[in-house]
Amino acid sequence: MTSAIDLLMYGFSLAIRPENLMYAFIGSVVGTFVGVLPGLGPVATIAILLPLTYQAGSPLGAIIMLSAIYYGAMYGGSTTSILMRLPGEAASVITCLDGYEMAKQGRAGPALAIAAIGSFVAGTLAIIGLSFVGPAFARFAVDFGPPEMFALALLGVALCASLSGGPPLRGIAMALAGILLGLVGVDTMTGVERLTMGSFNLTGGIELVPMLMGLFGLGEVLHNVAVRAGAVPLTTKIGKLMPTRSDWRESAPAIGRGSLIGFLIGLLPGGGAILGALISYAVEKKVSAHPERFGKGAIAGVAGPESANNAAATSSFVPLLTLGLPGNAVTAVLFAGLMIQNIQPGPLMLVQHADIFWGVIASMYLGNLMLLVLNLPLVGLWVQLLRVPFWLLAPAIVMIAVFGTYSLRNNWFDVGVLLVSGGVGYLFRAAAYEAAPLAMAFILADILDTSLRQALLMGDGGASIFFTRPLSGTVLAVAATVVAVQLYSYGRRRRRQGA
Amino acid sequence: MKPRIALFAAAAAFAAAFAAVPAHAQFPERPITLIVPWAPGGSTDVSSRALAKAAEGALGQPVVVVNKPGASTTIGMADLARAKPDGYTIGTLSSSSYMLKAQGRDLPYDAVEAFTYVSYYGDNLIGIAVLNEAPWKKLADLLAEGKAQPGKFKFGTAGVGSTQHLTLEALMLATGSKFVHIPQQGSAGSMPALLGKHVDFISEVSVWAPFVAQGQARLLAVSTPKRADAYPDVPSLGELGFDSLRSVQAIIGPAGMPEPVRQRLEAAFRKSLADEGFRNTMKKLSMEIVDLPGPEVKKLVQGELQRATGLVQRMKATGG
Amino acid sequence: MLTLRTGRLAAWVLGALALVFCAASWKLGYWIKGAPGPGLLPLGTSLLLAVCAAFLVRAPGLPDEDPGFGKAPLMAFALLCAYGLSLPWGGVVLPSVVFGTLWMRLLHKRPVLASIAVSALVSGVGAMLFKGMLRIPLPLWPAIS
Repeated sequence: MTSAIDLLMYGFSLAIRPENLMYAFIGSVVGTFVGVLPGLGPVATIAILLPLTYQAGSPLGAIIMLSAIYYGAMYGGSTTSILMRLPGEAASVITCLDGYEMAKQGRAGPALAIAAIGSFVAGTLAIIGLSFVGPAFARFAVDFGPPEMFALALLGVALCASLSGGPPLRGIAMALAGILLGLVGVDTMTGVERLTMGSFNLTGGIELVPMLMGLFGLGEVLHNVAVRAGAVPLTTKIGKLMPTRSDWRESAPAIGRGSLIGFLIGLLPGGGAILGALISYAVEKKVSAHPERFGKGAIAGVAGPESANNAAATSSFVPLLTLGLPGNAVTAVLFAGLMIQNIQPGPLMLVQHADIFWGVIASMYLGNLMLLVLNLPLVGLWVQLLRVPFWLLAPAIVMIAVFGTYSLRNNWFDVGVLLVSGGVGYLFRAAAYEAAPLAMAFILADILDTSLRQALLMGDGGASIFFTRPLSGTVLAVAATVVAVQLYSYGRRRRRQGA
Repeated sequence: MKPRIALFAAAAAFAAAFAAVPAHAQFPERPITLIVPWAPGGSTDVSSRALAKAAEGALGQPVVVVNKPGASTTIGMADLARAKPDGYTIGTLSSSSYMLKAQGRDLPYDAVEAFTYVSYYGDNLIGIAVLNEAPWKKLADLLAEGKAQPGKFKFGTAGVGSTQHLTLEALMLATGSKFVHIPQQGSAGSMPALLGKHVDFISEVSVWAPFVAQGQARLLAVSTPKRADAYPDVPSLGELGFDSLRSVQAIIGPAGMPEPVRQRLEAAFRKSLADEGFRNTMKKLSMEIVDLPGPEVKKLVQGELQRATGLVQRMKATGG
Repeated sequence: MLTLRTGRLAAWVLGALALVFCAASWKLGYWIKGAPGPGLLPLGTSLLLAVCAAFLVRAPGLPDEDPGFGKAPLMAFALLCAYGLSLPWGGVVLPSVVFGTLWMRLLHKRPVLASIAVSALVSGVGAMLFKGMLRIPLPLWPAIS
């Protein structure tokens, strides 16, 4: 243990060099910025900035900056979700549910503040985890094979239905539709085109981020056009900026639980940050004394998921730095960044490049602190956006969403996906169908499908493999319990109403 | 806001955003776009970025890499095929692009004729790797086991129909051994599957390299026709008497590019193969640098496509 | 105001999606040569969704459903579609200015000159942000070929 502290101190001695502090700061600022900008996420930004880092003086500085962009984007991603129901980043879809409701009630300030503070606490806890138990946990990520991933994704889909306040059947139907839409495109396992209806552009699948921005952001814009076809601002009041004492009481345990959940889920390949936020939301709703307030502006519904997605972003560095295995798109780009800087990420990295490993980790402590200091004062600035009149805000949201969408893949088809999703989002909004289960299931569809078929192949076509492996069996049992409890409690509520 | 001030500010914003008009000169007189049909971070992306950087010196113009990923390169390839053949839009060719054709997929462009071939730059090294604790010391051991207990052992690759997969299918056809293919989601998924013992071996591009260096994994064979410089002790499939497919990396443009432009690009890109930074990157990615003139690249691609098509047909015939 | 049960319409949309995808995944094959095929999950999912939709179509509406679709959001959606269709050949600047102007003019009754000025400013700032600062290869002007 002492040696880990010594090494961490060595890391700090590198991270506090002026040039490295500057890289961490630039990365934090850029990250916050692209997190706030809808569409353009950390993956695209890091890819754009990668060539610039060829010239950076030291490899450490480059990696510090690129990682700061990643966790900085997780801070910024919640801003537009709370203010405009426009997810700036895929991982903050869950934040739309209660964050935007809070903003509508004039509590945008506390929502933004608790998102920033929760992100800071979760980020810091996750870095402590990364520093001291990271390598031990890296094995855990590898032990998760196809059957376990399938069980986990199934649990995720089961939790989706709980996102909507209404009848579970609506949530379940939206989740099923999300799975179907998520499967459109060339099947990665067989190369066969699936459900593309003959459209070549759909062979690459429906792009996630434009769909989310359309479904939530543009759907909300159209809904507001319907509700108030006049020059009324989105929200009339701004209210207090900082959380109250009772907000703190509700948020503190949620932040703690979200950090732990996010850290563990973030280690796994695939949709770590998103799945972490989803599970955290479901847990908060379950343990809350007032589950009926969720979806109507419960602050724990912002604090938990926001903490979870930040913790997951940090812990996804564990497999990258200790095993050289990138688990998601962002860490894959960072992997390339390391390669270009002449550093081979892999099991030998701790030995061969201890300076990079510990320097980056130490810089994360500092970067998180910078982000907190940067983001808290910004809360006051962001809420001023609510004063922008709707007649100006609405077309501006559409234009920025269009530009941001094009910047993802330089592709006009994605812009079409954005606009059509806007129409669909409005239809579901008007019909009181919650879009969040669809979005979540869409994200999980790929993992669900691949792991199901991989597991069946591994088990020679039999389904017993899901139950005989202890990890997978346990997770499946949890998923079954979740569904059973949901149906039972809904049935009881209906019987009570009927009686 | 006062309309007039806003109009003025808008005009200023446009002026700033609008790129300067270049003076007329010899090709290239403006930046060149290099379409990489993969997401950032993969071996093609990293290697072609290094090559683009080297070529900037030879061309005297920036070479801007634009990632257009999706549908195993077909989306980026279709964009490239549609682009104006003026030499300002070029792209990278990977074997995956024509492998799809071999599997009978309908593509919105002709896999061979839709492109002008500028130059070659390298081969991805495909290796067959097992965990160090695995009992098989030679490829022959593994193949014998696959024959003795058909369907018992599993292998991972980047996906069905990838060069990695077809390489192994060719081995199974040639030896009569049988393994179960567990396709992964791209190359990045294969190494975790091997480490977690969810598959028994993998046929993959250089993802195994750091684990081989550290001693956690062992290479049984590499796919290049000759042994790879970095692994002099590992036999190549060619020397063991097996057929193998190449994992091509080349620079191409849309069909109909004027010959002088093509030659200018070819000269610049082939010269860049000697660049220090590019060579370093290729070495780290375990990729072999190969220098071929454009017309040869086209012949090579045609030959590879023919062999892959034959292989797929034989696979289908044997019900594999 | 177009009066219809929005909740029922949403249920029909989900049902149609289920039926179309069910047919498409049946053709893909759910079990091929002793191994799970690419149609396995979509087939199962779409069958389940079809059952759900059948219940939802007949289920009573909820109090928080909108009673129908107004003219304003339909016009807004039409504007979105026209904007999207004009972008690939018009570059981003001109369609954005026209779109913004029409939106402010038609939906919010703003004065013409103010609408043009503000839309030009927003699209100019947007173009500068993405093209100038972030170096996205965003086509600004109509393609001349």
